[in-house]
Amino acid sequence: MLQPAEILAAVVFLPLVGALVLALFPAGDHNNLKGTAIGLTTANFLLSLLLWGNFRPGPGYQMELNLAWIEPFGIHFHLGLDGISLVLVILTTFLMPLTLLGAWSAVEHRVKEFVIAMLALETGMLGAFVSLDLFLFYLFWEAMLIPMYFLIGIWGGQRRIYAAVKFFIFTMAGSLLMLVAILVVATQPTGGFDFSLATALTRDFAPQTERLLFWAFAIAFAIKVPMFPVHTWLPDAHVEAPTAGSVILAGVLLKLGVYGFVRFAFPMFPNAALAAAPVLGWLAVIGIVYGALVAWVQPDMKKLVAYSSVSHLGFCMLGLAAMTTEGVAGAIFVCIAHGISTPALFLLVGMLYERRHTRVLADYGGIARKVPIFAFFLVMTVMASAGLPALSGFPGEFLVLLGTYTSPHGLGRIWTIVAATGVILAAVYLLWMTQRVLFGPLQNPANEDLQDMNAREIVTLVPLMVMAVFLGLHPSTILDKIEPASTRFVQLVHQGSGTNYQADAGALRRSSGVQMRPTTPSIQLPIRGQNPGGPPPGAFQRVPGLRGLDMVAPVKEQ
Amino acid sequence: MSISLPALEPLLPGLLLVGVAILLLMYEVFAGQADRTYAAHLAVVGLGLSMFLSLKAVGTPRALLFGTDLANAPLIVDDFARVASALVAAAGLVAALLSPSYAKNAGHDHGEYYGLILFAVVGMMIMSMAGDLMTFFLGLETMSIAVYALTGLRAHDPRSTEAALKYFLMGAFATGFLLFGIALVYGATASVSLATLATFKAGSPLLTLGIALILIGFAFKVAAVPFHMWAPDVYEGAPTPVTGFMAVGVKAAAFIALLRLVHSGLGVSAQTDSTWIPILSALAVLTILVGNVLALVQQNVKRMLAYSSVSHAGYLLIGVVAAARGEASAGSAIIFYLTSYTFMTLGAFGVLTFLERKEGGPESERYGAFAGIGFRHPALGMAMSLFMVALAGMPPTGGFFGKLYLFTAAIRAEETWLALVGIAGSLISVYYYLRVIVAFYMREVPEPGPTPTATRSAQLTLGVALAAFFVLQLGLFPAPLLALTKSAMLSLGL
Repeated sequence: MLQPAEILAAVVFLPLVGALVLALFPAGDHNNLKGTAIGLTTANFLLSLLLWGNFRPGPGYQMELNLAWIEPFGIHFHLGLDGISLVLVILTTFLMPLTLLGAWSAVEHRVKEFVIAMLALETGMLGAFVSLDLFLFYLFWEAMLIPMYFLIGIWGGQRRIYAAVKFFIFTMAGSLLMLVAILVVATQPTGGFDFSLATALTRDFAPQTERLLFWAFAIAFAIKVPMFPVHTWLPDAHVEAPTAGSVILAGVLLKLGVYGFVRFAFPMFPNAALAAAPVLGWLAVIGIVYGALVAWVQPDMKKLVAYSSVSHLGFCMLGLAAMTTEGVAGAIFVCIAHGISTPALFLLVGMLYERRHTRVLADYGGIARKVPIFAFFLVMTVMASAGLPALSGFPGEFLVLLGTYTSPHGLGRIWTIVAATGVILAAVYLLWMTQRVLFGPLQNPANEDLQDMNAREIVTLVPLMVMAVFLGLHPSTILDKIEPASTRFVQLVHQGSGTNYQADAGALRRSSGVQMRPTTPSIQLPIRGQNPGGPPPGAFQRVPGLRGLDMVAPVKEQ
Repeated sequence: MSISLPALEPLLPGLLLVGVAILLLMYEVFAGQADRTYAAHLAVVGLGLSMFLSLKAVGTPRALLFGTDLANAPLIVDDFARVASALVAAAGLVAALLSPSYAKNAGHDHGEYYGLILFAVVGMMIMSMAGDLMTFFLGLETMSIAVYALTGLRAHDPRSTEAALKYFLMGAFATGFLLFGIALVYGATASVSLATLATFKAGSPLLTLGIALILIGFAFKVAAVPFHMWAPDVYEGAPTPVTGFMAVGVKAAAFIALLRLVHSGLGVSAQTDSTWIPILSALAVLTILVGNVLALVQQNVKRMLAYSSVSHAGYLLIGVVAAARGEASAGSAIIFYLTSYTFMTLGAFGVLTFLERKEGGPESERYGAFAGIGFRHPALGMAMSLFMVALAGMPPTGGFFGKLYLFTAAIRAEETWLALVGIAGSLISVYYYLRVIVAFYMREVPEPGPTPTATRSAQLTLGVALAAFFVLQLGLFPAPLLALTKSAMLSLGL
C-alpha cells in the first residue's frame, strides 16, 4: 500500500505520465485518445480523494515528501499539503475530467496534442499547489504556462495568437520578478543556498528589502489572480481560449495567484504584507466593482463571464487583505465556489457556441422554450455564481464580507460596503444575461432549431451542480479543512509582523453570530467529535462555529 | 627544451583530435567521389573519445607543460581546462552530427569540413589551457582560421561568401586589437604570463590600455555590443550547422579564456582599479538590451538566433562582472550557462538544418516558412519548442538553471541591478522565442504554398536528440555538471 506522501506524488505526476503514454497513441483515433484521457483524469480524481481521506484536521503540512534533489543549491523535492492546498488540489482533479468530457465534441482536430497539453497542464497546476520548496514551486508555476499557451494559441478563436502571447508575456513578466525575489530569499546570509519554504519563513529582512521582495512576489501573483489593474490579459485570454482552456483558466489557474499570496507572499514578508494590505484591499474592491460594471455592459457572453471572474477574484483578494480568519477562509471558499460555478458557466456558453457559433447576447433571447434543460442548468449556475444563499457562491462571499468588516485595520468597513455593492451588481449582470438569453420572445429564427443538451453535456454539468448545491448547504465540509490552515496563516502573518492581533479559532464561531463566547486566545481548533456538552449525535440544529453557515448540519460522531 | 612523450599525456585529448583531423585531410586526397558520411563518423568518434579522456582526467592534479611553474608554463592542463575542453569537444561533436545531411544538400560534402571542425576545437582547447597571452593568441588563431574557412564553404552562395569575407575582415581587425593589447601589456609588465600579470596591482596607463584592447578583442569574438555588427550577416550566411558551432564553440572558448584572464590578471587589477567593473557592466547591459531588441524585429529565424546569441553573450558578461568582483560562484555559473547554451543553441540550429531546403534562400528562413511544422513533424516541433523555451530561460530546462545560477552569482556579488537587467532582457526574449513556436504550431498553413519537409538523417536525429536530452537533463538534474564546474573553478584557486 502506498504511503500518503507517495499518493500525493502519484496524484501530481500521474497526469504527466499519462501524457507521455498518450504521446505513443495513434493520432487518428480521437475517441480513444479522449476516452483514455478522461479515464486517467478520473482515476487521478479518485486517487486524490485518498488524500482527502488521509487528511487529519490540523493546521500544519501533512503527507510531506522531502527528497534531496539539487544538493549544492539546497533545493529539495518537497511536497506537502495543508487544508488550503488540499481543497484546491481536489478542485483541480475534480474539474479535469469534466473539462475533457465537456470538450469532447468541441475539439475535433489535433486531439492528441490537445489531451497531452491538458494532462501536462494538470501536473503543473497540482505541483504548484503542493510544492513546499521555492524552486520546485517556480518550476511548476512556469511549466504550466506552456501548455496553457498552446491551448489558447492552437485551439483558440480568431485572435488567439495575440491572446496567447499576451497571456504568456504578462505572466512571465511577473514570474521573472518573483524569480529574482526567490533568489534573494534563497541566498542565505551564511553564504549557502536554501530554497525551502520553511527556511524562507524564518528569514528577516531590512524593511526596505522586505517591501521590495514582497512586491516582487505580489505583482507575480496579482497578475495571475488577476487584480485590477493588471487584469487586462484575462478577457483576451478567456475570449480566445477554447472552452476547455477557459474552464481551467478560470477554475484553477487564477486560484494559483490567490494561493501564492497565501502560501508565499504574505507569510514570508509579514511586515510588508500588512503594510501593503490597504493597497491590496483597495485594488480588490476596485476590482470587484469595476469587474462587475464592465461585465454588465459586455455584449459577448464569454467576455461577461471573464469580467465576472475579475469581480469574484476581487473577493478572494479582499478576504486576504482583511487578514482575519474569516476573511482568509472565505477567500479560499470563494476560490472553490468560483471554481465550480464559473467553469459551469463557461461550459454552458461553450455549448451554445458549438450550436450557433456566436456568443453575442443579442443573437439569443427566448430560447428557454426550445432548450429547457439548458435553461435549467444556466439558471442554476447563474444563481450559484451570483451568491444566492443555499448555493455555493454564498458562504464564501459572506465570510469575506464578515471578515473584512471585523478586520483590524480601519478600512474594513468601507471596503465591506463597497464590496457589498459588488454582490448586488453580480446579481444584476448575471440575471440580465440570463434574461436576455433565455427569456422574452424568440426573435432570432436561427434559434428555432436549437438542440437541447445531450446526455454527455448533462453528465458534464451534473457533478458541478451537485457540488454547487452541496457546498451551499454544507460549506463546513471544506471550511473544516480550510479553517485551521487559515488561522495558522493569519497568525503567522500577525506574529511575524509583531502586531498584537490575536487570530483565534473562535473567530469564526463568534462572528457567525450564533453563539457569543469570550475570546479563546490559543489555537483551539474545532475538531469533529470533540464537542463536550454538545448536542446528542444525529441532532439537526444550527451548530456554532463554521457550521453556523450550514443550512442543514447533522452533528456527526467519528 | 626536450619533450618526452609521457609528458605530453595531459594533452592527449587535443592530440587525438589533431591526429584524426590530419587523417581526414590525408584520406581526402584518395577519397574520390565517395560519400563523406564516414568522415563525420570518424570526427564524432574522435570528439567523443577526446571528451571522455578530458572528463576522465578531472580530479587529477594540475599538469604544467613546457614549463616548471605557473609563471613560465605556456600550457596549464588543470580541471578548468579539462572541463572546458570537454565542453568544446561536445559542441564540435553535436555540430559534426548535424553536418552530413546538410553538407550533402548544400553540395559541400568534403572531408576537410570535419577536419576544420576538429582543428577549431583544438584551438579552443588551447585557449582554455593558455598560461600566457601568446599561447592564448595561438589558440585563438587556430580556432578562428578554421571557422573562417567553415563559414565560406557554401562557395556558390553569395551570402556564404559575403559572410566569410566579413567575418574574416572583422576577425582580423579584432585580432589586431588583441595583439596590440598583448604588446602593450608586455611593455608594461615585461611578461605575457597570466600568473605574472596577476602580481601587478594597480594598473599603469600602459597596462590599463593593454587590457582594454584585449577586452575589445574578446568583445568582437563573443559579439558583444557595440562589436556585434558582423554577427547577423555571418550567422545568416554560414552553413547552418557551422552557424550553430560558431555561436556556441567560439563563444564558449572566448568566455572560458576571459575567465582565466579575469581570475588572474584582470581580477586583481579589477579589485584594485575600479575602472573595469563599470566598463564590463556597461558592455553587459548594452549587449543584453541591444541584442534582445534587435532580435525582436527580425523576420528571419537565423538572424533572430544571431541577435539572440548576442544577448546571451550579454548574460554571460554579467557573470564576468560578478567574477571580476571576486564572486567565487560566478565562474562556475558561466561554465554551466555555456554548457546549457551549447546544447540548446545547437539543438535549435539542428532543427533548422532538418528543415533546410536545397533551393534555400532567405525566404525559406522566415518565420512564415515554418507554418504548421509542429503538426507535420511532431517530434521536431516538440524539440524546437523545448529549445526555444530553454533559450527563453524557462524551467524545467538547462537554460533556466543556467540563468538562475548566473543571476544568483550577480546578486551575491551585489550586482542585483545587473540581474534585473538580465531578467528584463529575458522577458523581451520570450516574445521572439515564442514567435518560433507560434510559427510552428499556430499559424495557418498557406495552401498550397511551399512547405519545407524534413530531411531524414540518422546523424541529424541523434544530434538533435542528444541536445534535447542534455537540455532537459541540465534543467532537472544539474548536480553532476555543478560538481564539474566547481572542481574546474577550484583548480583556478577559488
